[in-house]
Formats: sequence, structure tokens, C-alpha cells
Amino acid sequence: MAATAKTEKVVTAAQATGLQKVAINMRKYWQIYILIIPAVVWYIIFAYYPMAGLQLAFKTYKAKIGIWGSPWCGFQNFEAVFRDVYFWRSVGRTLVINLGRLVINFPAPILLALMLNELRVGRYKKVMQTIFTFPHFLSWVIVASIMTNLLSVDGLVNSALGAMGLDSVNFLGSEVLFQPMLYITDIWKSAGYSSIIYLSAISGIDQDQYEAAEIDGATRWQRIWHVTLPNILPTVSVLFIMTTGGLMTAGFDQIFNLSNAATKNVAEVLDMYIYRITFTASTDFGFSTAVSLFRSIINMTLLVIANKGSKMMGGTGLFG
Amino acid sequence: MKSRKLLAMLLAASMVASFASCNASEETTTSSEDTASNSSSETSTTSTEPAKTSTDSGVLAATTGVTAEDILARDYSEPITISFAGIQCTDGFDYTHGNEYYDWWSDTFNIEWDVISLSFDTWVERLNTWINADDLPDWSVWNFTPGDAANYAEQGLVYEMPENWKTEYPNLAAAATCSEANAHYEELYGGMYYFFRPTFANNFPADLITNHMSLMIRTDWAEQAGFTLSGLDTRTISESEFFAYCRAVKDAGLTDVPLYTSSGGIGTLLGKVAEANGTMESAYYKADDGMYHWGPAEEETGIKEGLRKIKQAYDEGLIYQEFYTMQSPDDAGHFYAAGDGAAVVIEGMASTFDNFAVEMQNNLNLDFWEVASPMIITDDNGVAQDTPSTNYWGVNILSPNIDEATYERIMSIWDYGCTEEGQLRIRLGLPDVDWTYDENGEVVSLLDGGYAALTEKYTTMSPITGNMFILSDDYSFINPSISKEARDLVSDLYIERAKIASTIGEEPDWDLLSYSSQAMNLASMTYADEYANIITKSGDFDANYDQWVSDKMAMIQPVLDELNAAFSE
Repeated sequence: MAATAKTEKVVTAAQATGLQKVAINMRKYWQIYILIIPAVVWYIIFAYYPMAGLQLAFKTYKAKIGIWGSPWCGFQNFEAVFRDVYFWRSVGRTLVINLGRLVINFPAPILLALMLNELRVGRYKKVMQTIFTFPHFLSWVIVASIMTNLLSVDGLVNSALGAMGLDSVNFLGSEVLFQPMLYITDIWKSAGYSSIIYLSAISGIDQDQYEAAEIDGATRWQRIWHVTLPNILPTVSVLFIMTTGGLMTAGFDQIFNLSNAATKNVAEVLDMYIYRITFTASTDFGFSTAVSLFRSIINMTLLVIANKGSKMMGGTGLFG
Repeated sequence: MKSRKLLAMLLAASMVASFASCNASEETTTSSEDTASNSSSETSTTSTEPAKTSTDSGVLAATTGVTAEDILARDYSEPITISFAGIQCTDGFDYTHGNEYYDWWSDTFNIEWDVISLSFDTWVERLNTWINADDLPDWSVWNFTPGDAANYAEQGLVYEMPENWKTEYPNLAAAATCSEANAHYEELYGGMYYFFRPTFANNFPADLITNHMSLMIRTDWAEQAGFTLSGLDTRTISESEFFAYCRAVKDAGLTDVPLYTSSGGIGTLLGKVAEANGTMESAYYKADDGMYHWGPAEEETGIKEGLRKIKQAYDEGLIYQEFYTMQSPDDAGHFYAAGDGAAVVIEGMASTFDNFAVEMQNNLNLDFWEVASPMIITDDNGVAQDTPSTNYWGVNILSPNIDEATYERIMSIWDYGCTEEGQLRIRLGLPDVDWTYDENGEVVSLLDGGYAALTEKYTTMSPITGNMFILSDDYSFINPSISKEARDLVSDLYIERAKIASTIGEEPDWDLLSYSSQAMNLASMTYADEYANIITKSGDFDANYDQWVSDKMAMIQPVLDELNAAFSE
């Protein structure tokens, strides 16, 4: 009887597919799987359990009786959201700004990593890397204050323009210049830090490939193009997919701090819209949750599309 | 039992008396017996008398039956820790024993303070979060919004006062009558949940409460530029005259940019020059046709025309090009420190003038009283546009989970703070140390340097006790630690404004003030920023303005439909 059972088990393991394989693997390598328990618990507590709060999008929130006890209101919150012309404008603005980021800002850390990788003097490379990484640790409040001092009508840049006999430019109050300012400040603040992941991918490239290319007479540019870039492409793909999944999130901190009354018409992205309706009037958590849920669904859809697209083009998907 | 009833009747009678004295200052026609009005005439420009104390005026004089001594004689043997959340508190300061001033409060009421400091930019968000999480500190100062307030009261997310609070704490009850909002919302919500903190209680000098926002201008520059300020005697200046003054000082080469201000200042300026029917704050108003309208869309409010003039001034370079990036007090700094501002929008309060005097002396070596003057902004017909006052700023709320002992201790502190003795202690510091009575029975400060010296000696005294209920604005009219010139000046401004205010005979529109809906939430906007945006926009002003109105109407029309369905006549 025991022999029969053992035979059945072996057969099952050999023929197992999908979840069965996972279960068998878990039994086999249980010591390894134990190590991921803290991460799983973290996700359950801080990522999945709070998702229960999404039901607020379909409820009229009553704090005293809590999320679960609050009465259902169907799609009433969504109807109000979709009726609001300013909501749709903020959605459009968010997409436009983030598509711009995808085109302009996304390649910046890749280029920076490639350039840093080409530096030959180790100490100089480290100094440059530190300089480029430092702005990441400044808050947007500080960055906005620096920008104001630099770009105001009596700031450093306009003073320099004046000294050269040029007219001053209203950088801070220009709707046209607002979007470029977002991109420039974002690159200045984040490119150095984001390049770390590409530098680590570059450092993992087999040095034999460079030697072989060098023996074949490849120039430095050709080595970058034909060795470095193809090797970091999986990392680029994953980060591209992740970035696409955040297209509906435009960076509240940055825009909140850099915008002002003169540029408000081009600055109300979805996050700013949620902030306005949540905190400048009576709090309506159901409404705010409806907007957030809508945003998450769009982000998720974009993520899935980008993942599929990446795979279809022969690249790497999020899950390999 | 009979004696209790008798006591209750006496208390009720005393409260009615104090209510009458309080309301008199809000009505346009007031009794000549009103002591608040009497004190106003004594502190006008013609006055040479020292400032009066509140001994014989207003709610503090009301016979509430419970004196400061009675309150202090209560049993406070059980130590209590009170958690308090308010703005402008100083992180890290020991509010329990940080200085002698707080020593007295802590020792007398046997309390320790657990203070949570809130900043203006996160104040509303944090409190709303705590309220919704049922996690309020014992006592918080909240920015009242009717939609949330009704919701919170209905759900019991803020403490509802027991029925006997008025008889138990009669000084507080008397002071509460100073703002009509207390009685209105108590009735509306079927209980007392929110304590509207009165801006003025006993010492307001005029017959009508008006907004204090004013313009500060350089009178010496006007003279140097050969510009005659026609309303200097009455301290009034019309919109057209103001911009003409700015133009004159600029043309005379006295400054490149006459007016440094923020977006908020522009909003104030517009609110004061347009015949806005009080639409600057809520933007909705009931017109003569009995229907609700949205101010910016209506010609009769004059908002568009007012904005056009400001836009023209902006284009001429009379207003700082990047005013929308300015924060207070940087705008005032150009006036009193850098000395390159010809005008600034200010809060026309007594302490402001003393502050300007000190700063101008220190930075520019100029005598403020000789070279500057606050001016009431009027339209070209000489009317000071205003909104009917509800006389409060911020509300006190208590946690619904507060225990009885803590509740009683907080209420005793508030009650004491509304007595005359309490007010003197709050405003002037410790008796016989910081102030005393002179031979005439008048209060005199013992500190060299007046109000500034007091706030320097007892830093951070105002966040908790200073504004615990009756706000500091009220005592500033008679506060001997503020210079007599400043007190007289602020009284003059209120008295003058009361004569020319657009709100004479008008009452607050409680229907509108209490209304809230999802449509109204969606239509919320910061009007000062909206106007700043129109001013800075290039292209044709009319086209820009009309486009803005047309855009906004998509959100506004549902609100108007709701209001008219509910309240139109």
C-alpha cells in the first residue's frame, strides 16, 4: 500500500503542471520559501489588505461605522467623477505630461549610466556619480525653492540674461515653459539616482564581450551600441513597463511645489485634482477613492499592454 | 430644587443680558447704552485718554454668577493630561512648564499639556483625517466647513456638549453669544458640537463688525510725487486713486514696483474694489431677484471690471510681476525692510502697526507714524465692499472619546479664560509681574517694550491660552502693551469702515453659509489663484475672462440649481 502511494506521488510530480509544480517545488525547497514569508506578510498587510478600502468607491463613507459598515451607493461616485469636465482635463494633462516624461526623461538615466560607464578614472567617476545622485535626496520643496531663486525675474538666470543685454524671461509664470521645467527639474533630481540600476546592469556584463569587440576593432561607440545596450535591454524593458504602468501618476510633490497661480491651468494633473476635491472643500472619501480606483485601473491596463507589447517585440516582460 | 431653579433663572437672565451687549456691536443700529460703543468713542482719534480695560463692558461684565475666583476654587486635585492640537504651536517647547506663564496654568489647573503642532498647510488635512479615524486629541482647533461639520455631528465624531454646559460654564456661554454662529449651528445640528471662537467680544469700537484688510501706503512718497491723497483724513482710498498713486510714485522714480503683494493680496484688493455683493469668499450670492447667482458671471458684482483695472495695473508694471510666487511676510518686507514698496495689502490690526513701526525704524530709520498710513480700500463711489460678519475664526472641538474629568478641566479653563481676570492674564501675562493697576484703576504694562516684550518674554503663549476662545483681536483695542497710537488707529479704521461698509443692514446668509453638497465640493476653487491666473494670462482680457467663466459654469451651474431649488424666493 505504501509502495503504491509512493509510486502515485512520483508519477504526479513528473506530470504536474502549473500550481502543482509550485506546490511540489515549495515542498522540496521549503527552507528557501520560508525566506520570502516576511515579504509576503508585508504585502498582505500593507498592499492587499488595504485594497479592501477600494469598496469606498461604491459607498457613502461614514467614519463612525467604518468602511465595512458604510452604506453602498452603487456607481454614484463614479457618475459624479465622470460628469466633471475638470476630471477629464486632469486625466488628459496627466497623460500628456507623462508621455513627455517617457520620451524625454526615461532615456536620461540610461544615457547618464552609459556616459558614467565610459569614464576611465575611477575616483573621478565616483565623484561624478555622487554629484549626480545627490539631488535625489533633496525634497521637492527644496528644489522648488532653488528653482524660484534661480528663475525668478530678479533671479540668477534673468540677471545673467540682463547682463548679456537680453530681455528677462518670465520662467515661473509661463504656461508654455511649465512642462519643460517639469522635465528638466525631474532629470536633474532623478537621473543620477535612477542611473544606478543601469550601472549595476552594466557592471554585470561579461567583460569578454568587450574584449572580443575590441579585438574585432569595434570603436568605443560601437561597443556601447552593440555590447552594452543589448545587454542592459532586459533592465530597460522592465523599467519601461513599470514606468508605463505609472502613466496616470504624475508626481504630486513636484507639481504641487513648482506650480503657482499663473501656471495652475497647466498644472492640475490627476493628483492635484484629487488633492483639490479632497482637501479644499468638504472631505469626500468615496469620491476620492473612485478617482483613485479609476486611475489604478488605467495604470494596470497600461502596465499589461506594455508588458504584452514588450514581449511581442521580443523583449523581456515583467515575469520573464 | 427651588434654589436650583432660581439659580438657573438668574443665570439665564444674566446670559440674555450679556447676549444683548454682545450683539449690539454687530447690529447697524446700536443702543447708546452699549458699553462697547462707548469705549469706541473713547479710543477714537480725538481721544487722549488712556486705554480702558474691559472692566465695565461687554460680556465679561455680565453677571454670570460664576467668578474667576469660583472657577479657581474648584477641585483640581486629580492631575490631568490634556492633548491639544493647534496651529502655530512650537515643536519641542514645554507647554506645561516652559516658562512662568505656563507654570501658572499648569499648576493652577493641575494639568500637563500634550501639544501637537499643526502647520497652516496641513492643518485641515490632518484634523479631518483624525476626525474620520475617530482619533481626535482631547481639544483641537478646527477650520469649520459646514459639509464636514454636519456629517461629523450626525455621526458623533466630535463631542456633543451635555445640556448643562451653559449653566456649568456661564462665562464661556456668555462669550459664545458673541458669534451668532454658535447659536445658529447649535440649533441646526441639534446640539453644541462646535465652539466658534469670537474675534470680537467686549472691546470692539464700532457699530458694525467689518473686515480688517487694508492697504498700507507711503504718505511721504505721495507728497514727494506731488500726489494728493484725497481721503487721508478719513484714511480711505478708492481703487482708481490707489492705482493713480502707484503710477505717480513710479513715474517720480521713487520705486520701480509700487505694489508687492501675493495672490491672496490681489484677491483682497479685488474683493474690496468690486461691488462684489460679498462674493469673494463663497462667490455665490442671492440677488435682488431672490435667486442665487455666481458672482464672477454677473456684471452687477463688478468683478470683471475690477479685475480689468488690476490687470491694467499689472501690465503697466505697478504690481510685482511674479506676485503669484510671493508669500507673506515677504510682501510686507518690501515695504518696511527693503523700502522699495509703495503699498502692501495688510491685516489692519493694532499689533501690525506696531510691528511696522519697529521694522521701519530698524531697517529704514523712518518713523512709521510720519511716513505711512493704512487706508481703507473703497470702490469709486466711496463704498467699502465687505461681507456680513459672522465674527469668528476657527472652532474649538473636543474628542468624542474624552473622559469626564478631562472635559470638565478643559471647560473650566475656557470658562476662566472668558472672565475678565482670565482675559487680563491671557493678554498681559502675570499680574503684578507683567502688569498692574495704576492709581486710577487702569491697567498698565510693567514691561518695557510693550506687546513685543511680552511675546518675547513668554514665547508661544498664544497658541493654547491666547486664543483659547475669545481671540486676541478683541483685547487689542485696549491692550496697554500695544502702543496707544496703534490702538487708536485700528479703532479709527473700524469706526470709519462701519460708516461706509456695503454690509450696513445686511445679515449673513445662513442658508448659503451652512450649505454643502458634492456639486459644491467639485466647484470649489481658490478664487485668489483664479484671479491671479487671469491677470497674468497674455492675450485679450475679455476673451480670457469670458472663457474662464464659461469653463467654470460647467461646475457652477449644478450648485446654483441646487441652491435655487432649496432657497430661492
